[in-house]
Amino acid sequence: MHPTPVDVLWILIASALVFVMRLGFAMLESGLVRSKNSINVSAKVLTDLGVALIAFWVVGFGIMFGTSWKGLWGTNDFLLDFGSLWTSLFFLFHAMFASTGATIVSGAVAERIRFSSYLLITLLFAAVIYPVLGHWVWGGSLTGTTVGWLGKLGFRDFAGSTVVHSTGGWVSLAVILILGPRQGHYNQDGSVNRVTGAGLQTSIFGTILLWFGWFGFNGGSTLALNDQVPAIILKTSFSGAAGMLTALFLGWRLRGYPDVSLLINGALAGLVGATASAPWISTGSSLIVGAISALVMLALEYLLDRWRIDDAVTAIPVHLGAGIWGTLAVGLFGDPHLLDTGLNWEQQTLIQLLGILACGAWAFGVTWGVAFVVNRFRRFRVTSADEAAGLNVIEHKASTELYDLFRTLEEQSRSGDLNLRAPVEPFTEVGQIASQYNKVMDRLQENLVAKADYLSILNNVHEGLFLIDSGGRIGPFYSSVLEEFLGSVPLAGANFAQVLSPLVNPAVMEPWKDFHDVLFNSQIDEQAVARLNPLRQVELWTNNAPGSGTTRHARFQFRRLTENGQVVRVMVILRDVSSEIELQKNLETQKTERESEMELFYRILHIAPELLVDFLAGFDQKSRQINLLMEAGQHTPQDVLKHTFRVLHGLKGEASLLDLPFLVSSIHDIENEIQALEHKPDLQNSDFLSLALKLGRFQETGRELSQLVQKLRNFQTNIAQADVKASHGLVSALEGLAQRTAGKLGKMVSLKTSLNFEGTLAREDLSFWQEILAQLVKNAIVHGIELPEERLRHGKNKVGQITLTAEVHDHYVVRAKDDGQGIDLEGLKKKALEKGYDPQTVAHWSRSDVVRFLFTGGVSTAPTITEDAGRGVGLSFVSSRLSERGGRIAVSFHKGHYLEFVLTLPQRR
Amino acid sequence: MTEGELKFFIDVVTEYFEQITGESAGMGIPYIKSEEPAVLSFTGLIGISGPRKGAIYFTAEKALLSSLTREILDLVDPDDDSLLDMVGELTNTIAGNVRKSFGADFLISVPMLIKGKPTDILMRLKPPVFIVPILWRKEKAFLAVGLE
Repeated sequence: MHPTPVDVLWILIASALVFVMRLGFAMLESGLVRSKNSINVSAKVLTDLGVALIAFWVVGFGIMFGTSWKGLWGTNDFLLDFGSLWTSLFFLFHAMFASTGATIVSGAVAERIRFSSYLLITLLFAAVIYPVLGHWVWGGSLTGTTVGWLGKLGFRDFAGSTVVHSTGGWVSLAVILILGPRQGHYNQDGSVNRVTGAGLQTSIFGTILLWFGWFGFNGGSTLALNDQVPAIILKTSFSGAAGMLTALFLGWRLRGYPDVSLLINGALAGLVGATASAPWISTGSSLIVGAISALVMLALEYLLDRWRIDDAVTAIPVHLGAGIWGTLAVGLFGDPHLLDTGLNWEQQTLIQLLGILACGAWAFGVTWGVAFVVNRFRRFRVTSADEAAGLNVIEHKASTELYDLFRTLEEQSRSGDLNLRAPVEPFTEVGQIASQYNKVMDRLQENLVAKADYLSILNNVHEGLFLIDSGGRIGPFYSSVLEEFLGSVPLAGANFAQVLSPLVNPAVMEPWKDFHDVLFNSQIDEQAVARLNPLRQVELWTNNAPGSGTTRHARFQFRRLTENGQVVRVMVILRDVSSEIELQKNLETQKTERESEMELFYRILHIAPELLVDFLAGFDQKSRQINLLMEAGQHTPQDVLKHTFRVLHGLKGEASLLDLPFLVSSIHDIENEIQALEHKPDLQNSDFLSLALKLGRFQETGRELSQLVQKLRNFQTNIAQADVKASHGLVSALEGLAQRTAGKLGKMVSLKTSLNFEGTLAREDLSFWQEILAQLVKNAIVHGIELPEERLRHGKNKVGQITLTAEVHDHYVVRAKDDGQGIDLEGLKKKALEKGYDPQTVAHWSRSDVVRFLFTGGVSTAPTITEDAGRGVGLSFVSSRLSERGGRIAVSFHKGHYLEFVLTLPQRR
Repeated sequence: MTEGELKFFIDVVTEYFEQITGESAGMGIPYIKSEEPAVLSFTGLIGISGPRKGAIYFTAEKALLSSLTREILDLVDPDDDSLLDMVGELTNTIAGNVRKSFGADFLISVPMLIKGKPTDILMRLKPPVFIVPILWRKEKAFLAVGLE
């Protein structure tokens, strides 16, 4: 063969156009599958070009166009050496065909086949299935002869309705049957879940590109730019147009809208249908062929879905269905003269049918057999998880921003982690969606945090806190303590009145309905609402087991929540005020008890204590007598009454004697009760209840009286003890004072006391004597008792002795004596001279005058002023305090031996 | 303590006997107890707190309780635990009725069941303590009420 340069150029252009169909397929398929698989589908379309090209060169071309062995397959031209222009052109054109056929499979099996499985199928297709079939139909065309067995029989397939498209369809069908449908594609009831493709507009662009490529696919199959080419291209296009419109309008009628997928598949079916017959049919026939191609496509699509054969891009109805029809159309519509097979139309049609069957048997049989065997060792299909994740990432680690967004959402829905945020790809739609989604999540998280805080408050607050709406229903959120009050029935959404009714007195709930209307009437002010509140304070049963249940006092408060001036909800605050109420009652009880005790106290105040004690002892004894009489159960009720009456009557006499009218009256009342019972016909034990209670109250009064008397006695004893303690305290205080004072002066002293004040010393007298005795003790130590060495020198015990005695008769007689140096008369005279006394007068002072001087103010023989002595006011103070109360003081002393003060004071009356 | 309250407690017990056994119980002459407690072998006590303080107890001998248990549970020879349960059941009935008929003034404790004769039981009751003998099928029990 020696092509003209124009033919060469046309074949090159046609090859390029067929190549462009690959781009069309890539766009068509990636637009029809989900975005998670779009990259995978496109990658397969690109990859099968490489695989098919090499495989076709290595073996495919030789099998298809090599020297024929019995019309079945070629036997040479493997690893073809492109020695001539024609061979190169021919190879180029058919290599494009081979790879195009393989590409048909990629769409049908999309979204679940392993990438490696697909490569195997592509290799099988380009190296074996397609070349063998091509040999049967087109074998020898390299050299312008017909050597294939089908070709020799007169089978005609101009550009490959069967050889390329049906073969691709058969292979697809076999692989799909091995793979099975995509997850979730078919429902239990047989209905189909249509996939929302990644982008139908991309598919439309792909379809347009395919149509454009078909100019080369069919137009180039003449392998020369002759006068047939434009008509072939036109009839192909007419068929495509007829197919498209048929599918469009029929689908519109059936589905109610112009389905884009039918537009695409209708056009492609029409193009496939005309591929076998374009040069041999009329223009009008091309329209019919195209229209019927679309009908076949629709019918097969319907059947495949019914049989649950899942073809991802409707490749089988388009390529196999329309391919079979197009091949038959050669016999039905082809001009026998133009076909030049020597067969009439019936014979031609039968031969065409034979070719179709042979093609199906070969392509389907080989593919299914190989796929079945291989699938046993290594599954053709990806795992469910991988299928769900999508093959872009699983097979190619190729993510899309949409996929990333999806993964984030999926992870979030799985984990519930609200901190997750979607990746934001700037300047993309998905990025904007992700950005908005993240904002929504931010707000949601803020709200949830706020809600968590709110719930935390509700869980920890001590009051029952909840909202009710205008229908009286409790809101979805309420404080957890509310269940303690109202029980743990589901409170959210429950009617408040219905929940409360079993827990309160029915009368409480009667005004509720009216109050509810008041609550939601915005015209009524808050104060009126508070005033009308029937649940201001109610007694609330707790829903515990019988016996251990308790009641509480609860206080309900209502706060109205308004929107646009209308009350939309009411906040209810429920407080347990049981302890408050109990405290109040306790206080009242205590007050009553105190009052009754005081009353009793006034009533017995006039009675001599010993008489009262004797009476109470008798009261107690007689009460027991009555109790034992009734308890014994040995007497008839009449006897019991008689005895009781007698005992009580005696007690009444004693009470009268003591002038205790309240007891007399109480006994009299009981006597009346007894007399009434005595005269009661058919006396029952239950009639004694009233008597028992009266006796109980009477005895209780006696008990209270005894307690009161006991309290008074305790009080008296405590007072007496307090005086003894005070006296003991005085002695111990004087002892401490003596030792402290002596210690400071380096003296040694022993204090002996005999203060017989106990029981007689009034509290103010105690204070008086404390002051006096303290002065006398200090005076004795400072001025009387000598230093130990001096005492030893004078033959005395080194420890000075102070003796304090007190006696009470008509007078207090208090003596304070020390064994010190006595009074230094000469020393005192000197002191008087120092103070400016007249020397002559002083010279004539008697012993008594000197002693009197001692009691005037400012006289001290101490050399210095200390805390204890030196100011000379001590004895003066003692003297004046005694004089104030009519007392006297006598002094006796013996110089160097002792000094004694004797104080006498009349006792107060 | 009012006559009505005391009568209420007595009626709960006597009606219990009538309801369960069909044979009503009678009451003896009520009296006041201040020293030795009137306690028999099995006792159920309900403590009452709140504004009204004190306690109520029902006490019975084995014979009465055995007879009652036989009547209710169809047990021929009930053990001591069953008898104690019986006292518990009766005490619960008293407590349940008290709860129903009196308000929050009676905060009722979980009934306490006692076997034997504790000496300090009167400590729990507030004087004056009323003892009501309960007579049923010639057996005697006591209901003691000591409430402020």
